[in-house]
Amino acid sequence: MKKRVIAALMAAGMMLMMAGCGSDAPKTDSGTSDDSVEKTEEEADAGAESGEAPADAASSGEQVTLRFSWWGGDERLQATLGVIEQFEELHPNVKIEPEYGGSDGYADKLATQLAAGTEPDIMQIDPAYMSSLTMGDTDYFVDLLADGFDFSQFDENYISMRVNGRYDGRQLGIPTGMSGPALLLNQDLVDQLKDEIGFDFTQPFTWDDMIEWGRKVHEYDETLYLIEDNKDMIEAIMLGIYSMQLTGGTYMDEETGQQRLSVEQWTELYTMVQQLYENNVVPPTSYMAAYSGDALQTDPNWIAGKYVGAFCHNSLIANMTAANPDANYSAGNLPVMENAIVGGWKANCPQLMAVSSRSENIKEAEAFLDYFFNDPAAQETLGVVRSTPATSQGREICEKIGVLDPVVAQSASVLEQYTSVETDKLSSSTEVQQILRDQIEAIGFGVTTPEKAAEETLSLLENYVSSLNIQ
Amino acid sequence: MKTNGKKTGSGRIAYRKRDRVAYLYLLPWLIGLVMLQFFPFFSSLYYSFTDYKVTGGMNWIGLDNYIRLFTKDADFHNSLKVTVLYTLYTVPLKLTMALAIAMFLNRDIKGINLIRTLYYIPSLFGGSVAIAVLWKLMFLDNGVINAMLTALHLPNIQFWGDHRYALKTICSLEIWQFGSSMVMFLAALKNVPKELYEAADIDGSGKIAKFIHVTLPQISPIIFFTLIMQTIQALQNFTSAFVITNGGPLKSTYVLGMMLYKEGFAYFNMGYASSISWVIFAMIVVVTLLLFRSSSAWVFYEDEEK
Repeated sequence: MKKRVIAALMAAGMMLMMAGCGSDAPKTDSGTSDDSVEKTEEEADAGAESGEAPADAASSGEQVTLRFSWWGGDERLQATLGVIEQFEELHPNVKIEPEYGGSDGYADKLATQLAAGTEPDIMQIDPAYMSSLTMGDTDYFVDLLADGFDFSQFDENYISMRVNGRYDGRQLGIPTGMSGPALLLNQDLVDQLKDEIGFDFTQPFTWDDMIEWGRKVHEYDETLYLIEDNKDMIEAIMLGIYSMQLTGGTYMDEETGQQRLSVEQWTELYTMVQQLYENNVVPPTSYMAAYSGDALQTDPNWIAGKYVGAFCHNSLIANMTAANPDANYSAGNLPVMENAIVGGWKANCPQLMAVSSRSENIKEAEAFLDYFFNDPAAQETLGVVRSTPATSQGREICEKIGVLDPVVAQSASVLEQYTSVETDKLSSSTEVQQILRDQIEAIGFGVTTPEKAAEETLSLLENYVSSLNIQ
Repeated sequence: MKTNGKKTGSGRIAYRKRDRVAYLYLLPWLIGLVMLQFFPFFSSLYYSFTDYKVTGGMNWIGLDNYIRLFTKDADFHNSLKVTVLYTLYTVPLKLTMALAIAMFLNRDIKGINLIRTLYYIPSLFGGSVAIAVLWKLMFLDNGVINAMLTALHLPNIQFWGDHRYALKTICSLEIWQFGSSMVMFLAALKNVPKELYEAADIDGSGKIAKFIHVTLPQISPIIFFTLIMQTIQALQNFTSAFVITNGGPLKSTYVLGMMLYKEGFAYFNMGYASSISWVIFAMIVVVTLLLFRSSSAWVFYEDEEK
C-alpha cells in the first residue's frame, strides 16, 4: 500500500514537472533543470545509463513524433522495433515512426527526400553514400560532436575517420558497427586442397600467390574456383586496396581533384584484374552478371561449395555462411603485394546513423540515438544486427550473450594487422565506382586491354572531376 | 431550342454561373494537372539548362548539358543505339504477334473466351517488377530455359551474362506482353464488314489476298494507334533493364531510361538527367509526328471516302 502511495506521488510529481517544462523545452537544450526527471527515469529502468543533455530534452512533456528510416532484413527489423518500443516506454511523449525496407533503392529514395526536404529525423546511411551527400555546400546533418553527444563508449581513432562519420571535425554520423573486407574461406575445401595446391591462408601472401593458387585450383577441378567475386566486389574490395598498396593513397586527391595514379599504375591495377579472369581465379564475368552487388550468397555454386573463398564485407559473413550451412568457415589473411607502401585493409562501419539538421525535434532524435548506442538494454536487444558493435560496451554485451560470430571476430582481428589510409570523397563516390566497374567488366569480357582501360579510366575520372568544379 | 440564337441577359448569367460551378468540379483535376504534370514538366525543362545537383547548388549553364550529351558522352550514344534497337526489335514483333494471335482467336470455337483470357494474362502484369524478376529467374544459368536447352542437347546460353543476348532476352519479355494490342486487334477484326469478304470471295480472292486487300486496310487505324502507343512505350522502357540487368552487361541494355535514372538518382546530376529526359521526349515527338505524316499513305478511314 505504502509503495502504491509513493508511486502515485512520484507519478503526480512527474506530471507536474512535465507540465512545467513542456511548453518551452522541446527544441532547446534544457541543461540541468530536468535532473529530477532524469533520476525518475533511472529509477524506472535500473539498467539505463542514459546520456545527459539529450535524454533530458526527450523527457519534456510535449508530444513529439520522430521518423526513423533504415534498411535491413527481418532480424534487424525486430531488434530495432524492440529498441524503439523500449525508448517509447521510457519517454511516453516521444513516438517513433519506423520507415524500413530492403537496401534496394534506399539510397536513391533518401537522396530524393533530402533534396525535397522530406527526409526522416533519424536516418541510417551507407557510408559510401554519405560522402556524396556531404559534397557541395549542403548541410543536411547535425554535428553531434558540437551538440555534446556522449561518444565515450567509442574509440576516438575509429569514429574520427571520415568513413565513420567525422567530416572536417564535425561528427555527422555515428558508426553502427565495425565491418570491413574479409576473405571468407570454406575451411573444408581449404583442408581438402591444401596439399594439392599448396596454399596457406594463415600466413602472409601476395596477390601473385593468390593468382597462382587460383589457377591451380581451377586446373585441378574445373568446377572449382579459388575466389567467388563479381565486378562490383572486385572494385569495392580489391581494386582500391591494391591501389593503396601500390601508391600509398586513394585514386585522387579530394582537395584538388588531382589524379594520384599514372596511366602505368592504372595499367598495373587492371593487369591484376585481367590475371584474375584469365587464370580463372574468379568465375567469368558473364556467369557472375546474374549475381551482382553483394548478392554473392545467391550464386548456386557458392551454395554448392564450389569456391574456396570469397572476398566480402564481414557484415555479410552471416548471410554467406547461412547459404551453405553444411560447410565450416574461417577468415583468412588478406593479400599484400611485395614492397607495399601500406597494407590498405581496414575496418570501417557498414552504416551511419545521422540526424537531419532540418528536424524540428533534434534533441529528441539525439536522445533516441543516445539510448540506441549507449544503453545496455538497447545493446542487448540489438546484438549484432548491424555488425559487431562499434562501442566497447556493445561488444562486451554481445560477447556475454554469445551472439558474436567467431568467424566475424576472426576477420576483425585479421584486419588489425594492417596499416591503412583514409578513403576520400571523390574516390569512393558512386560515379567513380561505376567508371571502374565498367572497366573491370570490359576486361572480364576481354573487350578491352588493361592499357586501354587505364587510359579511358583516367580520361573519365578527369571528366568527372571537372564536372565538380573543384578549384 | 428557343434560347438558341437569342440568349437573354439572365440566361447568360445563368450560363456563367454554371460554368463557374463546372470549373469548381474540375478543380481537383486541374490542381493535379498543374502540380503533378505541368510543374515537373516545365521545371525539368528549366533544370536541363542548369548544373543542378541534388547535393549542391544550381547554376544556369545554357546548352552545356545538351552539348555534353551529343558531343562528349559515349554512354549517351550507346544508350541511344540500345533504345532504338530495343524499339525496332520489340514494336514490329509485338504487333505482328498480337495480330497473328488475334486472327487465330477471331473464330467461333468451343472455349474461345477462355483461350482469349489466357492469351491476355501476360499483359495484366504490365511492366511490373515481379514479372521482370520471374523473367530473370527463368533465363538464369540454372533456370528453366537453360534446363530445356540441356534436355534438347543444346548448349546453355548466358542470357543475362552475355552482352550479345541480354538485350534480345529483355525484348522477348516486352514482346510476350502483347495482350493489350491483341485485344484491340481482335475488336478491330470483328468490325470488318462481312460483305467485304463475301465480295472478295465472289471476285475469287484467296486467303492472303483477302488479308492484304480487305483485312489490313480495314484495321489500319487500329494498327496505326497501337504502333504509336507501343513505340512511345518502347522508347521509355526502364523497368526490365533496371530490374534484370541493371543496364549491363557491358551496357548492352543501358537504355535511355536507365541512363536517366543513373544520372539523376545514383549520381544526383538532376540537371543532366533532365536534359536526357528532354531528349527522350523530343525523340518521341519526332517519331510520333513522322508516323502521323506517313499515316495518310497507309491508314484507311472509312468516312474519308464519303
